Amino acid sequence: MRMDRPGSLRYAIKIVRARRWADACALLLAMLALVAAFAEELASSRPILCKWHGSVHLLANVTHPHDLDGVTPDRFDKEKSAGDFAVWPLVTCGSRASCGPAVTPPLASRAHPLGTDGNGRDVFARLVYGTRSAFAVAILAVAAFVGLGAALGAIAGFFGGSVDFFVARAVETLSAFPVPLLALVVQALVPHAGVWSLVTVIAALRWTEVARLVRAEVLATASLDYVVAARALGASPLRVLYKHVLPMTLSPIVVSAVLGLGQIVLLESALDFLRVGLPASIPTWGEMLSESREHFGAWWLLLLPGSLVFGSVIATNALGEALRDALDPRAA
Amino acid sequence: MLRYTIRRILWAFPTIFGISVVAFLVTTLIPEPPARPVSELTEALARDPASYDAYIESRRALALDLPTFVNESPRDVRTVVTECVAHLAKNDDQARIAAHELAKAGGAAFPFILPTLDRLEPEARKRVAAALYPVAERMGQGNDARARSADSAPTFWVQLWEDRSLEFTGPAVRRSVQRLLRGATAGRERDLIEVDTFALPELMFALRDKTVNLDGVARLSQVASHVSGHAVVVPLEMTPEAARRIRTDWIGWWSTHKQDYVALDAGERIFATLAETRYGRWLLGAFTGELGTTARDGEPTSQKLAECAPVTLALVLSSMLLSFAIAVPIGVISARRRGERVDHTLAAGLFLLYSLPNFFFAELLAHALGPTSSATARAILAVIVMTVAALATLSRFQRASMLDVLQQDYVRTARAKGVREARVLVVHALRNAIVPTVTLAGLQLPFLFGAAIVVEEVFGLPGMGYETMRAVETHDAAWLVVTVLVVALATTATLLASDIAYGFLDPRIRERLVRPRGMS
Repeated sequence: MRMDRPGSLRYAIKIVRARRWADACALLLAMLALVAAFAEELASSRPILCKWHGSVHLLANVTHPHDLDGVTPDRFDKEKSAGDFAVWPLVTCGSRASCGPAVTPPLASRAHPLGTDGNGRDVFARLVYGTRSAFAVAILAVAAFVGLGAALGAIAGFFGGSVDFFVARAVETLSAFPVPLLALVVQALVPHAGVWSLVTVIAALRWTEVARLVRAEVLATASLDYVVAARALGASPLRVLYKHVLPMTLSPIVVSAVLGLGQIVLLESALDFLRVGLPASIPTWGEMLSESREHFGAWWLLLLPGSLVFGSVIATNALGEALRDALDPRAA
Repeated sequence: MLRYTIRRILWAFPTIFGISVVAFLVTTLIPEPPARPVSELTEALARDPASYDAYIESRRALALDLPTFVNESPRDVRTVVTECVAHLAKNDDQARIAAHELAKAGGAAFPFILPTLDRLEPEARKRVAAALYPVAERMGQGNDARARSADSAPTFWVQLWEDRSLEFTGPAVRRSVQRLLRGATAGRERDLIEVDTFALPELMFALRDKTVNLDGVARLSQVASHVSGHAVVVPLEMTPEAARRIRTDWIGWWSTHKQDYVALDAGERIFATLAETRYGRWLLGAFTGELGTTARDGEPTSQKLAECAPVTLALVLSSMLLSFAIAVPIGVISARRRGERVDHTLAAGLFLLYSLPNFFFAELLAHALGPTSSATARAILAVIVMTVAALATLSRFQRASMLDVLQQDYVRTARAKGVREARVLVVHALRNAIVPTVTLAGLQLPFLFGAAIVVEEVFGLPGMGYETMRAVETHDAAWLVVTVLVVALATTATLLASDIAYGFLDPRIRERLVRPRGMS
């Protein structure tokens, strides 16, 4: 099969790349993903690589050796013995502990390029680690709800009958609940609310959209000649579903996964903004935004996390819609 | 049209059922207090029977003694008696609790114990008879020497049943109750006390009767309190309010305790299999508007809802209307100028609005306004945020549906015969193109309710969202569940209405009959 036919992913990527903003959006998302992955190398209270009192520590910001407890850059410079050296991250502050005067504006001090918040915590560090929590939740939740939705949608569309009826009723029931409200209530009531409960509740509520799309695609494909031919050749229903029908549903799945990323980032930050998302020990964009309410003049506490949420949602929406237009000739 | 409407309404029932199950499942997330082991309970009972009763009642009030969805063996006085007698006969570790439960069941249990008392082993018979001693006390026979001694107690009870079993029938008790209501004398009251808890069903029936006078309510309540041990305060001076309070108290108590004093017949047993479950109890509460009280100030949730739902509703409806008023012209203009500069600019602007996180936008406006501001200003900003949130989706939808219609032949015909462009757009095209957008309103509702939480929280408007956040802070499960339920039901109702309206406006929909909305 030639991959460059209209409707295939490679073709879609070509079309998307031809769009003016798509490259920039993909680049922004890739950069944020890198920031999330290498958060420790950007902001940490420990050096990336150092020799301290004779022993060498590689990636001390990940391994957290006890020798380096309480060693700040200042103390390091003062107490280092001959031959000691350290490669420090961009910002030498962790995201949780206070490490400077409260509410410093950006660029006012070299140690805190983006300023500090009301508790004296470094804003840059918190943004970096907030990126990590946003991306972690979004990727996990999207994987979960896309998987669940694709499976249920495919089963409903392919087998029909009472399975279809139950899936359809479940979809209808769940669409009646505002996702933020139900997620908020569950997070507030469930004991040990955290990343996993959040991912579970998002997956349990958001699969309906994917299921609907996949079901429609399966229904359309299942009556096509080549599928009928495969059946006539004696292929088992599961083989027909897996080999012949499911590949056709790939494009709506990809589109909803990309759009879902932005939606989940939005939902997760909204919940954190209301302080019911992730626990307070994990820095998040939403929580930073809600803290900005206590410091009305401090614009950076509002605008920096806000524009990160805004930016990542714009990027995923633009990318997702470009993909959709490219993959689905009907929608264009 | 009528058939379509009925079909559509019937389709909504599974959804409503599903919604109630989901909302109920939310209540099960709350960690429940663990059940205490039998040994500990026996000890508590020996130490202080009142604390044991309080523990059992507290579990019962939360329906913790019931299974979640299906009750295979619903409990009634017959099963309770059988169980208790079995424990007493075996004299096992639960015998003490069984004796206590049997004494609580009292006269209502007699028809199931006394006729067969002789068939038990002599030792077992003695234990059962001894367990019934508190009942004899309640019946005013505590001083009878035979009832008191363990050896002669069985004969006492067998004798009692031989003499008085005719009084343990519904009609006999009903007559006693009526006599008591006609005029109270010590003898008439004693007649009822002598059948103990067996009188409860008739007492409750009489208490429900609105024609019973104040004095009668007081007397019925006193007798019922005496036999059941459920204390209801009866003031010396009866007032209509006091009577109403007493009535509601007893009706509430009876709804959860009826099975302890009444044996179920076959039909009731089948019903109880589903109703005597946590879900059944909860659903019954939801139907009657009894969904508990808010943990924060003890106000009934229904009352609190009546206070703050109007704020949210006003917010949601005004922003919905406003967003329609703005979105429809935008959609029409950009469809008319498809591919032109106006279209591109509008599309870009709407795309940005579509991606704008509403909490960020709300917070920006709140910062711009400053910390001190009037309620009106905050309400206006709240409406603006919600309108913007709804606007983008609606206008994009309107544009697409307008583009569809503008390509139809009849629009070309209208233009060809020289109809003015404005008239083509508004009268010919928009009339058809606006229908799908209007039906989108139902789908917008959950989204707007979600946005209302954030908006009310940021601007401090006392609506459902604001209350919900306060409930989150205090782990007020009752309120949270009510909010979820109400919002979901409101959404379903709106969807239903919009589908019916759609069918009314578009005969093709009616012909297709109702395809499940979730999967079109």
